[in-house]
Amino acid sequence: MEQFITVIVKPTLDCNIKCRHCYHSTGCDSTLMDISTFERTVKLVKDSYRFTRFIWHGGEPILAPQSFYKEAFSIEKKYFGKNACENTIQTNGSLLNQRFIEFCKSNRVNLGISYEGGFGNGLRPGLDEKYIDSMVEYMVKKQHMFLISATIHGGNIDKIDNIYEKFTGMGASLSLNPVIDLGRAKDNPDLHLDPDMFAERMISLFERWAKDPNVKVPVLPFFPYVITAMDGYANISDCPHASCLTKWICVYPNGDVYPCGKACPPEYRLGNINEVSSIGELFDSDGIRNILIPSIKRRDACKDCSIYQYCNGGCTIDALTDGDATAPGGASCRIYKALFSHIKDFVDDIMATKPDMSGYNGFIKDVVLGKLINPQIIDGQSIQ
Amino acid sequence: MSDDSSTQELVQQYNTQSSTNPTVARDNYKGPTPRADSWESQAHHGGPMCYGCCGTKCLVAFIGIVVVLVVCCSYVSQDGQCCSICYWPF
Repeated sequence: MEQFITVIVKPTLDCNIKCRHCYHSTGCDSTLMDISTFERTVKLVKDSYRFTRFIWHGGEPILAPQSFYKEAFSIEKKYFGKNACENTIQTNGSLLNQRFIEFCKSNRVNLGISYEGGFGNGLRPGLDEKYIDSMVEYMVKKQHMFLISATIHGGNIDKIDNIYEKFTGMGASLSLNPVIDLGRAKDNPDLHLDPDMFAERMISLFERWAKDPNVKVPVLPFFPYVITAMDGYANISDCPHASCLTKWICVYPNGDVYPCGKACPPEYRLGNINEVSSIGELFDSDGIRNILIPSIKRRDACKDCSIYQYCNGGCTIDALTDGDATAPGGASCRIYKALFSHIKDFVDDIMATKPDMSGYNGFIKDVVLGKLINPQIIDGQSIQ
Repeated sequence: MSDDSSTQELVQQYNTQSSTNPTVARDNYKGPTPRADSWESQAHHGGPMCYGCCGTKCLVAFIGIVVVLVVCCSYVSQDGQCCSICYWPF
């Protein structure tokens, strides 16, 4: 019995917004996943794993009605009991309402809202931004678990500080993500982001976040990178660097399974959840071979890099998007190397000089204090 | 590695290349441990417009309010303005 697997579930590929950078191209199948497909997924996962995390993605996952999720969460409890599953719903936010938000809270569901706070600059056509703002304000007021996931692209890179100020100012946790040239983004060259410019702006923003004692929210990827720098290993929640193959699966509405939620090419298909007898069978497929072989080759090419132990060669889909799944050095690699190296130096400097921490934010203080009080808590090497 | 390696050999090689902390990332992972008796852990069981806090607690609160109203109303003062016990202006 394995310990843990992350399952991305796409209940539908349909969407009511059609964001210009979506992983999925237009004309996707709009059917809703049959609940029996989800139950089959949960059963097979339970047969092989003690715990699991479900990430509901799409398409727009809230196009599936609340009754679908009510049934899905009941199935999780039926197989895993009450507390063994985590759930996150990643939504564009346009279909949220107070009742659904409270339903999520009562089921301990974390909400991820893909939103740039009015600074998307045409990224999400037709989005009612005032409405999303009202929902975000409601969740802040009610202290719900949620994360704003803002996409930074060529058209809004100059607004990155505005996005940061808006959400940190209102107390909403924030993740800043570079646009990936997949799916529809490839058809919109105005979204293309200069990776070096993005890295430069993120480094500047990291300094601002880290040295603001009043900031009340973690900002991603800064916070997990701080933990990674201190830990010496990639954080399992940092998906592009978490060695995800055979640790994550993505189930499509028709039951097809892929190793990742980022719209993998057909040759990476692992099988169909309704046609296999175990999760292990998916990990013994031609699809997993087809993604493992270039991943291993790229990692071989990466292994002498100074930060390899922290990134494990990065994400294969990102590398494929950058042009070659077997080769390091693409946009995602350059961004990580620049930003993480800066954060690593920042953390190393604190640990070496032990400065007065009153000038740093609470998250940095907690990580440093934890390391100083009990190095074994977060230093994996010392307890092996 | 060669492209002719078995799938299991490939998985093993990939895992060998992975430097995530095995003691934290895999072997010792513990699932989420919320307060087991928290209302946040309960599925929604109320009616329309009711949330996870509803159910037994709501029913008890409702009965309590009705009892207070009935008792107070039966003790409305003779001038008809206030309850003679709680002085609530019924």
